Amino acid sequence: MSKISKAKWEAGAEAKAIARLLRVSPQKLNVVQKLIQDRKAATFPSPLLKPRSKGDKLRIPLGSKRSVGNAKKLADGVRLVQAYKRAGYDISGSTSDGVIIVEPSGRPDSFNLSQLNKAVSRVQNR
Amino acid sequence: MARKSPLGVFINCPFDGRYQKFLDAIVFTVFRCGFDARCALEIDDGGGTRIDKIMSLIEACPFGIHDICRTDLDSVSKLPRFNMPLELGIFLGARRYGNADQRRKQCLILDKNNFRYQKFISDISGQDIHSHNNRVESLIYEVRDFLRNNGSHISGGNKIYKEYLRFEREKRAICRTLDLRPDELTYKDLTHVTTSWLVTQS
Repeated sequence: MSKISKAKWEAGAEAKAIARLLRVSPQKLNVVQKLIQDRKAATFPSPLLKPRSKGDKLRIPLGSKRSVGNAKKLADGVRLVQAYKRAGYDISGSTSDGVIIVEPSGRPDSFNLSQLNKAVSRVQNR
Repeated sequence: MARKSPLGVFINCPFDGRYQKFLDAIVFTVFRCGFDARCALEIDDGGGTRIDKIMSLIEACPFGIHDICRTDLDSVSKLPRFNMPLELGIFLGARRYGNADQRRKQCLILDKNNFRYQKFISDISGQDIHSHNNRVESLIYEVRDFLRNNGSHISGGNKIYKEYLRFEREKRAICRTLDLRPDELTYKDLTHVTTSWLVTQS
């Protein structure tokens, strides 16, 4: 893997963790990824500011004035993910009371993660 | 050497079918409190000595949960299993003789009744042994209270127990969707199902 593609891959993984942590829609992942690559947390674009749905807990507001606060939130998220990464953990997400759930070690034996995610969301959506 | 695991909680408990619901509850509570549940079941026995791998795991984990409730004789061999007291001994030994990191280790020792341990492992008298009375609810409360002292804000035991009950119900449906029976889940499968379910609850 070349240096550039490795950096891209790492930024992608980090972006996924941050998106999960901040509950940002997966469609905005490329924006977060770009942000991590450029390290310009204060200038991230407005599409990211839209809440995913009406019930979205993060409720990132629209508007340039507030985007500084959101940029700070995102920058905090980046720092948090990096702190966990330094400790050897990937973040799986967080609970409603703010507890960070870490990714378990190893891979599952009987299924892959995308099958599991589909199964969990199917059960949740029933 | 196992992956260094600053949030690692080493789980030392029976691995039989009768204990499965308790193991599920411990794993659920550990991840729910923001920690990483590790146990000997995650060790692939392909090569190397099992005890070395268990010791590496103990070395990597700053926390330990030891349930020494299983003292019954095996129905076939008519002998008790000694793995749990052995692993508890290794953990306590690491805390006593290890380096500064190892000396900071903390553990929760559980049994099914108060003071029962004095009849079969009296040398650990003086340690703070907790009992779960063979009830999953009490076990979750004990594990949560132990981890609360080492973590940030964590919800109360009652909330975690209710979440666990919901998880157990939905776990069966998740397994059905994956064409698996719940008893077919390996330890690694269980940890992934647990964390995936937890992050979708927020």
